[in-house]
Amino acid sequence: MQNDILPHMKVNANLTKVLKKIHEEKWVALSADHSRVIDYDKDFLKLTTRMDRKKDRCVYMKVLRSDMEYCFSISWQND
Amino acid sequence: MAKRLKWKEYDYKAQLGPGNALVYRPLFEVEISSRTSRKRRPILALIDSGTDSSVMHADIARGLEIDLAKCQRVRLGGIGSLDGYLSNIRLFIPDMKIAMYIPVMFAENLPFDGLLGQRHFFQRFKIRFEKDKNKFYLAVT
Repeated sequence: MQNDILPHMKVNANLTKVLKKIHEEKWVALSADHSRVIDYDKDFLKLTTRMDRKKDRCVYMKVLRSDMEYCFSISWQND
Repeated sequence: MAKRLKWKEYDYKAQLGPGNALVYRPLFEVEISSRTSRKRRPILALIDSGTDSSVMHADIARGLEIDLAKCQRVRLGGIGSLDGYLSNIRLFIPDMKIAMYIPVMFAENLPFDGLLGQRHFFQRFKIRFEKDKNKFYLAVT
């Protein structure tokens, strides 16, 4: 099998300077290139309402606490 | 003739972890929408091969005007457990212009916005993790 690697729009991969303590456990709206936080809120609906008004292209992210190690393996069953 | 795979290359996202150590995670931009609302929400979801199905935060369902009270209730288990609600959504990959209709479990108190799991997402794409380079690659199967 042969492989090609296609280029794509470069976005910021280093969120360490972008996300601060104040953003932890909150929703943030990142700019389209992921280089800055446009807005944030604990309440996702309030944040999206504000962002819809601004009409900026953004991507939403729920920020994990920095002192938390992620470990979350899930299966599911019907009730 | 061998089929030529067209891989798209992505960087792991660096975030601060415990002890200010750098943690790199395969976060991937997807856009979620429901069948009933015209709203679309782009999120940075974690590609998680340890999750059976895709799971999203319940706030996203509310943001898409999905009535969780009308959704089938499910129980998510693993390390700890959560109650969730099953709903069908449209998952759009902006970078590849691919849309999929998949069932998603919406759970309260999820520490992330979304987890893209084995069923549906891993079935649709070839996914290659190169942790030593902090790169991951997706190709359409």
